[in-house]
Amino acid sequence: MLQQLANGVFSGSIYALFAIGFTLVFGILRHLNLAHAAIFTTGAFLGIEIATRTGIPFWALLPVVAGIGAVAGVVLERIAFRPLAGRDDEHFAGLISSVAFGGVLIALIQARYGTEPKSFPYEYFPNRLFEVAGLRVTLTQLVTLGLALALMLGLAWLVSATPLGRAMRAVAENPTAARVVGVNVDRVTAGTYALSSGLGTVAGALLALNIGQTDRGLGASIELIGFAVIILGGLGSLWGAMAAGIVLGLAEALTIHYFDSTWKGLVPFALLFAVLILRPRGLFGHIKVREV
Amino acid sequence: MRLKTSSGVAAVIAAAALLATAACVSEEPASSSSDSALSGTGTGADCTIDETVKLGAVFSLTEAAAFAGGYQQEGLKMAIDELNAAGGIKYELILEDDKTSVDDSVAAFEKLIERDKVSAIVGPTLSGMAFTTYTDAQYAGVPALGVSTTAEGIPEIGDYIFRASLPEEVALAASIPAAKETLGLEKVAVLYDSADEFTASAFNTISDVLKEQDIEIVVEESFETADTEFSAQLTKVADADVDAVILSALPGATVPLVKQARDQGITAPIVGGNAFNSPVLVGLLEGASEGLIVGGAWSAAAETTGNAEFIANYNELYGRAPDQFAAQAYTAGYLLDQAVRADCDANREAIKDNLGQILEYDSILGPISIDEGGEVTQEPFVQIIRDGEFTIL
Amino acid sequence: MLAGYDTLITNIALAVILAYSFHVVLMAGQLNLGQAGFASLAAYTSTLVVPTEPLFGSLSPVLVGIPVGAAVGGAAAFLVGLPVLRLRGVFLAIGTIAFGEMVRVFMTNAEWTRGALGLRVDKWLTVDLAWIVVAVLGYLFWRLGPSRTGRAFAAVREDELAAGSMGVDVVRTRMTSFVASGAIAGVYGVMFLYFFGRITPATFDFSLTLGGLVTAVLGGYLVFFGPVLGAGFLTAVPEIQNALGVEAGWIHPLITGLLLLAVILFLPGGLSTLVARLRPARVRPDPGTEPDGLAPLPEPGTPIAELRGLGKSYGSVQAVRSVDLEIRAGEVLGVIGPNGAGKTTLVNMISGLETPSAGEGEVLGVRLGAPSHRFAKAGLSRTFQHSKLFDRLSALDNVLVGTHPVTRSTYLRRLLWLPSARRDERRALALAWAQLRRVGLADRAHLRPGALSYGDQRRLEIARALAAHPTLLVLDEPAAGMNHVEAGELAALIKDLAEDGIAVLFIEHNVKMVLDTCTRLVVLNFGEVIAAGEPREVAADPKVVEAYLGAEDEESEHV
Repeated sequence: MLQQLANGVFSGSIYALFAIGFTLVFGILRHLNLAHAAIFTTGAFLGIEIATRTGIPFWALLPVVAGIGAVAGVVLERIAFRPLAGRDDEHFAGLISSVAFGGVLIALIQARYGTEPKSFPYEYFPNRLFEVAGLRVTLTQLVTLGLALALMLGLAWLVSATPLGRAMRAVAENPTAARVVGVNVDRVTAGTYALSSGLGTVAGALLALNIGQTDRGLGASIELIGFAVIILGGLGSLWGAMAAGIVLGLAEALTIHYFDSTWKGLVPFALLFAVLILRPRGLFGHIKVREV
Repeated sequence: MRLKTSSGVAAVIAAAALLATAACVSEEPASSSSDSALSGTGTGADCTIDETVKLGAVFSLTEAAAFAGGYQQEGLKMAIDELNAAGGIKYELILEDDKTSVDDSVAAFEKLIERDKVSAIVGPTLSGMAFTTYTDAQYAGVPALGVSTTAEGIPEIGDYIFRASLPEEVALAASIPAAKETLGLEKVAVLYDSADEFTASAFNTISDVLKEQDIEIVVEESFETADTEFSAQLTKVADADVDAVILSALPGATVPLVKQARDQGITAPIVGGNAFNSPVLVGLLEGASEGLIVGGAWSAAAETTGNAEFIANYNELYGRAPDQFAAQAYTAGYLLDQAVRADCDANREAIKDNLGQILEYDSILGPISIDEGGEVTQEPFVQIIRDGEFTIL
Repeated sequence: MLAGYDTLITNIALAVILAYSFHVVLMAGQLNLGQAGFASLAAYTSTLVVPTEPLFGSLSPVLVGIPVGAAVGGAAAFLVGLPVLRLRGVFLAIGTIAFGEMVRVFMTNAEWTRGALGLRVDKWLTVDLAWIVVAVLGYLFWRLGPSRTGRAFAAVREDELAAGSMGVDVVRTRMTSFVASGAIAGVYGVMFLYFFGRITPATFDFSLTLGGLVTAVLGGYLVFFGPVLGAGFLTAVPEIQNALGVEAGWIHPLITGLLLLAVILFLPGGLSTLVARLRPARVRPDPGTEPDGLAPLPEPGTPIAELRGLGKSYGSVQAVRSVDLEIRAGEVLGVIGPNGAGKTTLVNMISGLETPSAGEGEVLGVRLGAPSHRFAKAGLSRTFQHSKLFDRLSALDNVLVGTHPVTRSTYLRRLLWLPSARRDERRALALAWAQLRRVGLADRAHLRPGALSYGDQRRLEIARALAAHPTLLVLDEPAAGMNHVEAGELAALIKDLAEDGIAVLFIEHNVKMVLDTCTRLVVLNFGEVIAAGEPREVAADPKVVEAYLGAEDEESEHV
């Protein structure tokens, strides 16, 4: 039972990792970035390639991956979102352009890495197993949870205490007003995508490390859960996303434990559906819902 | 806009009439025209056919099943190149990508059958597509040879449908008793992917075989194809203290499952079917692959005719080791060649008649036979991974 | 048919049908992504009822399946719509995706569906039948475009608030589009099943939904043939690559992705934009006739609205408090007051956009608190402080939406080419053109609002409001941003309208204009009426002077 709770928390931390980058863009810019899954997958492949080629240690790998991810995010925003700004069909077109961008990324991944799954080099990360009071926990799980919390804290600090964060909040509240008071909205938008994609690639590399491999479907496999997490957590609420990720992880683990694993797939969506109907702003949301 | 009501009514009547005719279903028999240019002189190894023989192949080269389709394409191409070099008959391989989607798969079959007018078709990669494309091939009277369509019921689609892919139930029926014998299984856990038809069908087989063998299933857990986290299911397995874990999963889920099982402290041996049989898997699993028991149609360690050359040539040509998908597709090329050479006739009818007559053909998969019903017979290889290598158990 | 291309051609037809199920919701601005779920339910249900043998010996059993699919899909969409249609935008999208996933998981685990093993049926769908269904759908959407229902869809898409104020029942329109989407998705599911002969729960997954959405948006959802363009394009691209000898593999999705990106970025409105460039949209000409059959306006002086103790608070902020007001037919009632005095909140309550939190009232026989389209139906018509025109409709179409409360639905009759539908459409057209002429925009009828000057946009909004043949016209700062020539013309227009017997309630800051046009004046400050009566007397009231010269409240107003 205790083990199942731990399982839920760990798998929830992976959901949360995927979702924070996703929810950042959604919360601040109201864009549903359907290329996020592809960015996430790119992070996994990049992490593996860099680790294999250079052998740099894990703690140094993540910033490198994040940096490349941030650049990819800026490119994504430039190509798939900025040209649409102000158009009548901005929101529908943004969905399609991000789908197209994601498709291009996945095609490029296939071109570079082929069709087979890839994994980190042998013993790249010492996967030690801890047993405390009958609880089995691996080092990767602890690192994932720790990093998820650390990234969340860092992001929360960034949003609340830095000039960029203030500008982001201003844009989230009202882009037109933000522009009027002198916020460089274009730069904030690009910054948001850079941050979101940097987080997304790191999350991808971490998940690949966790499960031991990656293939081109890695991001897509978690994308729908990501939707559930951002809505459950509340629009753009970072802590909400973290909490919702863990709630979903726990709900799944407990369903498997007490009921039947065949119905596990229903849990996130049934929960999401219920929350949308009963409390549309999400479990932890407080920001006003703006229409698309 | 300027249409008058009367003509509007006329249009409605016309449309209704059209609907009535379009909605009619006709039952045309398959036409079996034969082209004399496709029959040659001589028999067997001496057969020569002047006309180029067109063979079609439909594999999943992109999207979800590309992990298999890539190998199949390479294996079949290699076989066709070797056959062309041997002389007598010139084959042209027309390759189509079904993008792991049903619509593209059916469209690809139509193109090969109707437009390219191929003599036979190899593929598709997935049983799910075969169920719908093979009814078309049957209807059109084009022999189709499956190389990875292991689901139950495929050859039963019709007399033009054959497979050279060992059915999952045969692979499992061999690997489970072998594992029982070596490991003394009494209580096992079964983990299966409930969202994929291949694994779901294999799960049914596993249940039957275990019952036959008097092995008790103490834990039965499922997951979905795209899942990456299995710790909750594995915790239940770990708590149950089983003699072995039997896995029915696609390659994508296999690696995380096995790794997480070891992380959770499950030391019991893990037994799997066809999908396990890949060198890539061993590479991805690293240390965690030790002790995996795999039943399959081909083994890199098998000393079958031409296997060593096949592996060496494949490595040289493509820069990677072949897997079971490659080996089966490669074999399919030779089986078709056998069927053509039997009567030295590459017409669809002749290939159909002769594919079902192949008896104990000595291939890299070992002696292989195909009966008139289209089903393959061969000895499965039960292997265990020791020191990172597949070893025959 | 083209021999050897049947599957390809049928695949296009199926893609078109799927895209239409997105088209119909996109037309109404709703992001429904639950089509996979509706299609799955319909397809699986049809296996239970569709006969396995041809009907009457020769008719395809799919003829039973198609209506069953439409009914199951439509009914499912209705039931799902009841709760989820309270959501909007991305929330609606994700809620419906969740529904689709729930259906998939359910079908995977149910016994009768054989789970992941799937169901097999005989292939009964022919290429001709598939294209007949496409033709029927195309016809339905072609006739929908210039009908009253089609305009309601467009109005809801462009601006729900304004649509409601023009008499469009927004909730019902959204539900209609949602149910239509479910029904078409259901037809798609059944046709897919009987063309390929096999389905598994995973057939109807999220990627199917994304594919349909991409096709619909790519083709363009502003013209009825958009899905055909989108599906044709997406089928042609890989075929052309094949024909050019591009090897199968990653290059295909790469090129498709790049082309998709290019179309979306450079052709706003999708591929249909290209067609529109070749054949510029015609503006339906002025029939020149005078609109007939309009109900007479009430006698001047009859009370048409009465408010008693009306109040509205937002949290602790009291925007309006205990306002008593009576409006009579034929009068011009000015409402003035400093910024934040509660003027807009007051008219929003009168027109049904906001529910009062205290007091009660009745406008044209409708109790306050009812949805805005009810007021519009009763004869109230309004403009907005920040103009809320329908951006992607021409000036004429904007005004045509305005005729909603005084016209009858024409869609079903248009499907049958009934002459009465044509008469009704001509009448609506006459109404719209008359108002465009009245505000002096007849020569700019074909332009979109974005191409009009600011003053023209305000006049267009008035024309749209007038097209409803209102008893009571509410104008929220109509002269804002106008120069005084324009403001003078507007004042003349208002007097003119009053002479026709229309009661006008208008909020204005231009005191000179108010004094010139109003027959009665109400002054609000901090949500309360501080003076009311004959304009010039009220203007001289010391309290009013103080309110205007005193410290201005900075609180901003919305709507």
